[in-house]
Amino acid sequence: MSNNPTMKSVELTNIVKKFGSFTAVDDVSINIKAGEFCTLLGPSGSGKTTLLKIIAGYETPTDGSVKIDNRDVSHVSVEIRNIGMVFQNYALFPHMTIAKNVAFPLEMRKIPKKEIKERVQETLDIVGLSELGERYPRELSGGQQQRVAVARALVFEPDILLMDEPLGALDKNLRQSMQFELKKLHRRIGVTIVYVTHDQEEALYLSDQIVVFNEGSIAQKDAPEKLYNAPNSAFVADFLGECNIFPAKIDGNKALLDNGMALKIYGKNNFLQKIGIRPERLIIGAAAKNCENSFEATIDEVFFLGQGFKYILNANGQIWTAVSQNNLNTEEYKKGEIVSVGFDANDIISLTK
Amino acid sequence: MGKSNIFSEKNRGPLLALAPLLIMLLVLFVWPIAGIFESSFGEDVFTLTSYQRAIGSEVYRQIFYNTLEIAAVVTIGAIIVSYPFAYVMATVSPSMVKLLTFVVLLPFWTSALVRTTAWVILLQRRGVVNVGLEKVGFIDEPISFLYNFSGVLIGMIHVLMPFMVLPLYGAFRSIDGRLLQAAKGLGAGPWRGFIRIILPLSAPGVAAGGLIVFMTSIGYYITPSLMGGPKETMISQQIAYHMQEQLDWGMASALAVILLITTLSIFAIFQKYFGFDKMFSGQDTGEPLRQGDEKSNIQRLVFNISATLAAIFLIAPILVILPMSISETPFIKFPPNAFTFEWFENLYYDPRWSRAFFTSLEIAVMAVVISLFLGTSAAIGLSRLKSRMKPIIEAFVMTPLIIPPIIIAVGLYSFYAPLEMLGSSLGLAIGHALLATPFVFIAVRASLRSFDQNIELAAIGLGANWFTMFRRIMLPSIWPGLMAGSIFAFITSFDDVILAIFLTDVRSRTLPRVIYEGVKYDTDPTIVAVAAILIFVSMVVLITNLILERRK
Repeated sequence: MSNNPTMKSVELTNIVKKFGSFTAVDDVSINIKAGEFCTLLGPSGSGKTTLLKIIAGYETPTDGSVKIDNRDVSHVSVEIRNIGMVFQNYALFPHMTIAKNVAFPLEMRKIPKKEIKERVQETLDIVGLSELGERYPRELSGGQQQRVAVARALVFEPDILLMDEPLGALDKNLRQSMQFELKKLHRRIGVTIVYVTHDQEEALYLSDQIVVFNEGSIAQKDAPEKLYNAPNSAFVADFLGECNIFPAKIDGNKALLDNGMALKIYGKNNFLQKIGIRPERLIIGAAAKNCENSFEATIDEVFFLGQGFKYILNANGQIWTAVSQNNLNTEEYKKGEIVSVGFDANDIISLTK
Repeated sequence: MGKSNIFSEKNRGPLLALAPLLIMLLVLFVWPIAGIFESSFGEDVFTLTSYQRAIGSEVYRQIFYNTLEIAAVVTIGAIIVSYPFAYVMATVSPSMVKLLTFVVLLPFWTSALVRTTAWVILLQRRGVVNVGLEKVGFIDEPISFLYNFSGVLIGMIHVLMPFMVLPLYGAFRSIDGRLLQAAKGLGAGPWRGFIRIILPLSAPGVAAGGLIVFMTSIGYYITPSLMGGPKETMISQQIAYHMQEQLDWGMASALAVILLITTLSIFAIFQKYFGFDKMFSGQDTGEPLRQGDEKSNIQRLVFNISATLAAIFLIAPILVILPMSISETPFIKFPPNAFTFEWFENLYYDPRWSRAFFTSLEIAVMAVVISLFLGTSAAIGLSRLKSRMKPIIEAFVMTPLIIPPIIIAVGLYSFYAPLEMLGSSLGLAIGHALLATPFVFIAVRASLRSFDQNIELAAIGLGANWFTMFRRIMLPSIWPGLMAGSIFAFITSFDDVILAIFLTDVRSRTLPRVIYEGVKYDTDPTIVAVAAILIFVSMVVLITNLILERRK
């Protein structure tokens, strides 16, 4: 693999995909910059895998265009589109060794044998499998198989790399270390990656840009921090992390909740229909009284999470969720206790739908 | 994904792959059977005479009654013999399972004709069984086992028993052993546990196997023809009689239509409640049943003795043929007191046998090639087809397995006669391919199921075109299915008697036809040698297959 990676941009314009009367992808436009790590995030059935298959060329869009490096490839067939894809269950060829699997795309491109050998070895080195070339896929662990799939998808220097839930089959610890490796790999070779997952933590950790899907359309797209801190809808706020979401009526710089509670907010627009507060922004105990908004609540349930505690709070019939860190000085509250709960006006997320 | 119109662009490739088999089925299967329907209503003018005769006359009524009675008794007999055997098979240690599997599969892999021949040899008036019983002093006069009801019964139960054992075994395997433990904990003794838990849970297996056995029995030809007397004439024999001896085409057609409709009705019931594909695939759930769970030694004893007797019944007639084939007096003595290879020499030097052998081989190879192409192509096509029609097409492709072969034979006969293809090797090979293609189709379908479609997509995404992908990726993956399918196709062709009787002449007789005629019309000891060779070949094929499977 060369050290000057082929960095290509991807431009999706008004993509529509229908299966009979069912619309799987509904008018989706995304710009992915060269070298960017872009994640398509959404619940299953939200159209993200279909969109990935459209980029790869396995599905033809009913409408709209796919441009790679400013070239329209909507009608270029899969085998010559030059895109690397890592499948959910890796789709390694079971009857070929690891080296043969990785060599396959080079053989298809009629590259001389000697060069194939070098490039296969080079790529296996990059993914840390130099020694395992002669093994068969079934002799490898899940994590190693995943790396073979990545090596096979990268060895022919594809214009872009597509990954369909590539870590979905791994257990939690392995998944986290593979996320770390993927991020390192991306920094090192700089290839443009389009990544599909339904795991929001994975998306936050890996991506430069996250596109959140809901029922075939884009709910919101932005950088991870912006998406987390300023979701525009209850769906995004809830899908990306946890969130206390309540319908609200705006009266000047006050938001009125259904249970009669009035919260102070800053300069919010009048289209706002709901407000959201992240559980980790809620302060419990004496310090809560100093916040711009505070109220009393009964603790309904306490869950120990390891790194912290999760409280289910009942404030005048309204249920809130709060999370506190498991620090040495954290006070632990018991079920049934009445506590003060508070947060600042800036912690309120305004949601338009 | 979406189930679109069957003729949509996406389905173009799959339909193209399905086309050769569908066309062959339409031309050689549907069209001739439609012809049978047509001629059952008279040659020139529409008439119901044949049906009126079939229903009105005492002779035919007796034959319908015989057929149903024999099928019913065979089914009940097969259930009684198979049930304890399958139960023991599902509950013993893995090494015993292997032995019992061999005991079921060897008859399954040996041709029905050879097995029937073995029984005829054993059960003759001066055969091994009678001589043995006389020697022990059980009887003074030889018992007539053959050419009566008991002969048909013994032969047919033996031939059809594997079809009963395998679904039953699947049913027992899918019963969670913990249920029996739970029943015991709730106070049920071993017999009550068996009657209240095992019996009801295995009932679907009994019904499934019973329907298959009943359906196959109704259209049976070889065994009743070789082991039954005139009083046990079944409908298939009557069809053959009207075609070959009476030359009464209308009557033969009417009887064939009646048989066809009966068979299809039973199959429809079977499909509604069980489904063909599920028949041999018992799902293991939870803990397997274990016989040790029951404390009752009597129960274990009863089952083990019944199973042992069933095992002997299944395997003994096949194994006894081997030493008999080198006995100086092959029909009479077991164990033989003098050995000779005379019968094998006869086989080798008698042109009647050697020519038939090579004809059979040639036809079987042609049939394998044809059915391999048609079955594989159709299996791939169907697996990629996206349409609501899929199950209908699948059922249609399987129908040659279900229809009694006598009907296929009659249909092909009427199709080939005007084309002057009767007596041609190719004609018979095509007929055999018709019977064998469903086996290839099933085997390739099964191996395609374990072939992840993403692997195909991955290969294409990595730059392979479809044919490169097929050659380098798909073909190696479905290779075991192709091999299994070829073996089944070969055996189907090499064992067939019924099509051979109708479609060959004296010059193009196949080995099974020569055996059949030998058993039916004379008693040439050479038949024992042929039977021994065929049994030996089945054993080799089966053992190779078992070894290959274990290596996988």
